[in-house]
Amino acid sequence: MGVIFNIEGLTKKFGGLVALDNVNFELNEGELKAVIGPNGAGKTTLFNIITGIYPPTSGKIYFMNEEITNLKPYEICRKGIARTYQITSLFQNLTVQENIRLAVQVGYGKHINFFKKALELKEVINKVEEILELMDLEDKANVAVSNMSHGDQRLLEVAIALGSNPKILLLDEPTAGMSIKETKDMTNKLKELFSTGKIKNIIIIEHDMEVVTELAEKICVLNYGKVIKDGTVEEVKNDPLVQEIYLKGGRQDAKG
Amino acid sequence: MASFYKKRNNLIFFSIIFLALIILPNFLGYYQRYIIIEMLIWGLYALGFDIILGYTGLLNFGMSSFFGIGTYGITLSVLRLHANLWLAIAITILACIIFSLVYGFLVTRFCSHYFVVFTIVVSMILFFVAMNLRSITGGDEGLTFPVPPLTLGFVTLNLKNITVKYYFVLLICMLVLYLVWRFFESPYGKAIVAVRENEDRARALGYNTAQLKLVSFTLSGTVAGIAGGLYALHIGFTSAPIFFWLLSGKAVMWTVVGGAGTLIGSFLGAGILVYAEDLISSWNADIYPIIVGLILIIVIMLAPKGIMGALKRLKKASF
Repeated sequence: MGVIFNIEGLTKKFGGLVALDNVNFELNEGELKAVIGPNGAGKTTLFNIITGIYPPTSGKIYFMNEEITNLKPYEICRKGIARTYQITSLFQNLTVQENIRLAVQVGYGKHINFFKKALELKEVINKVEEILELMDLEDKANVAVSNMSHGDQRLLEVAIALGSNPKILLLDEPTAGMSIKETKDMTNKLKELFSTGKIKNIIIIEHDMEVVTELAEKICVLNYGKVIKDGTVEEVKNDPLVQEIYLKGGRQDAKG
Repeated sequence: MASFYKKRNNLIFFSIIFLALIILPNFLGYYQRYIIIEMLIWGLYALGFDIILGYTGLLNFGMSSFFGIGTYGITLSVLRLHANLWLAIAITILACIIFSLVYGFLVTRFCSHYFVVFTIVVSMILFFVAMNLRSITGGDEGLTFPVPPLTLGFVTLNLKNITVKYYFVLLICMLVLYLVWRFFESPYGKAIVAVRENEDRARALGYNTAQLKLVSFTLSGTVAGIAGGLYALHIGFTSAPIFFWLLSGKAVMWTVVGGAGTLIGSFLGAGILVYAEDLISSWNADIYPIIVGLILIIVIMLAPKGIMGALKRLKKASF
C-alpha cells in the first residue's frame, strides 16, 4: 500500500485571490478519498490543476513516483488520471456509444489509425460494450446525449472517464443536481465499481455528507484553499474546526 | 436490423448517382458537360471547406487562399518548370500540404472569432500580394498555359477533349470524396469530430487537440487546393483575383445550403447553386445574387442543416 499520488506544497493564485494555499495531499494505492469543503474552498481548482488545465503558482504533483506538474491535459490523461466534471461536459450531438468509444479508442492507444474504420476495432468495441453494461446504459447505446435525462448524462460522465482506462479516477461531484433516488443509485454504482476493483483509486469531491460517509475511508477538508483536516471519517467528524465550518457556517446543505 | 437497411439504401443511392454521372455525358451536349465539370470542381472545393467547418467546427473564411495556391501550383509548374501533368499535380499537392501545414500551425491556436478574422486577413494579404507580383502571377490579367496531355503508359489523352476532361475530373472528385469519407470513418477522423463537439473534454480524454486541428486544417486546405488545380486544368488560365474573398464566401454558401458535416452536401450545394447561377445568368445577369440570397434565407429558416439535413429528417419521418 504505497503512495500512488501526492501533492506537495501546491499554491494557486488568481491575481490577488489565493485559491489554494500550500496544499499537501496523499492518496495511497487502493484508496477512495473524499475532498470536502464549503463552496469556493478550492476543490474544483485542485482538480483543474491536477489535470493540467491551469498551471500551479508553486508546488509539485507526483503520480507513481513521476512528476506530472507541468504536463499538458492530454498527457496527464494518458498517464492514467481521468476525471469527470461537476458541470456535465459531453459530446452532445453524438450517441452514448460514440461518446464512450471516443474515450476508449484513445484510452487504449488505438486512435492514430487512418486505414481502419472506427467500428472495425474489435477490442475497442468490446470494451465499449463492457462499459455500457457496467454503467447500465446498454439500452441507451444509440441515443443522442442531448436527448438523455440529467441522471443518465451523469452516469455517462463516469462511463466516459472509465473509457480512458485510468489508474486514478477524479470524480467532481458526481451527484450534482440529482434527485434523492438518482443520488442513491449513483452512490451504489460507485461503491460497486470500487469494491469490484474496476477502478482501484478514486478521489471524489462531494457536498453530500451522506454520500461521502457511505463511500470514503478518508477525507480531506479544504477551507479557503487550506487543508484544515486530513484523516479517517471518524477523525474528521470529531474535529472541532470541521464541525465549526460545517455546522456554524450553515453551508452543509449547499449544492453547487 | 434497421441500421442495416439504412446502410443498404445509402449504398444504392450513391451507386445510382455514380452510374448516372458515368453514363450521363453520352446524352449531353458540350455545354452541359462543361457545366457538370464546373459543378464537380466547385463541389470538391466546397468539400474542402466542409472538412474544416462541418467536421472540425472552425469557420475558415479564407478558403480561396488554398484554391488559389492550387491553381497557381499547376499553372506555374507547367509554365515555368515545363512539368508534365503528373509532376505538376504532385508539385501542386505538395505545395498545398506545406502551405496548409505552416498556415495551420499558426492559425489553429486561435479559436472562434479570432480564427475567422485571421483567415480573412491572410486571404486578403495573399490577394494583394498576388495582384502586385505581376512578374510571377500575371496580376489581374493572369497567366495562360498550355494544358499538358494526360499520359497513362502508352496512351496519351488530350485533356482539352471535353469527354476526357469530364472523366478525369469525375475520377479525381470521386477518389478524393472516398478518401475523405474513409478518413472520417477512421478512429482519427472520429477524434476530429470530438474536437468539434467539445474540445475541452476531448483534451481531457487524452486527445492532442492541437494536432487534430492541424491535421484537419491541412486536409481541408489540400482538398481545396486539388480543386484549384483541377480548375486551372479545366480553363487553362489563372489570375490573381482567384484569391479574392468572394470565392471564400461561395464555399460557405455552397456548404451551408448543401448541409455542413455531410461531405455529399458540399457537392449537392455547389451543384445546385452553380447550375442555378448559370441558368439565371443566361436569362438575366443582375437577378442572380437576389435569387441566391433568397435561397440562402429560405434554407437557413426552413432547413438549418441544409438540404442533406432536410433529406435525413424526411427519411426519419417516413420510416
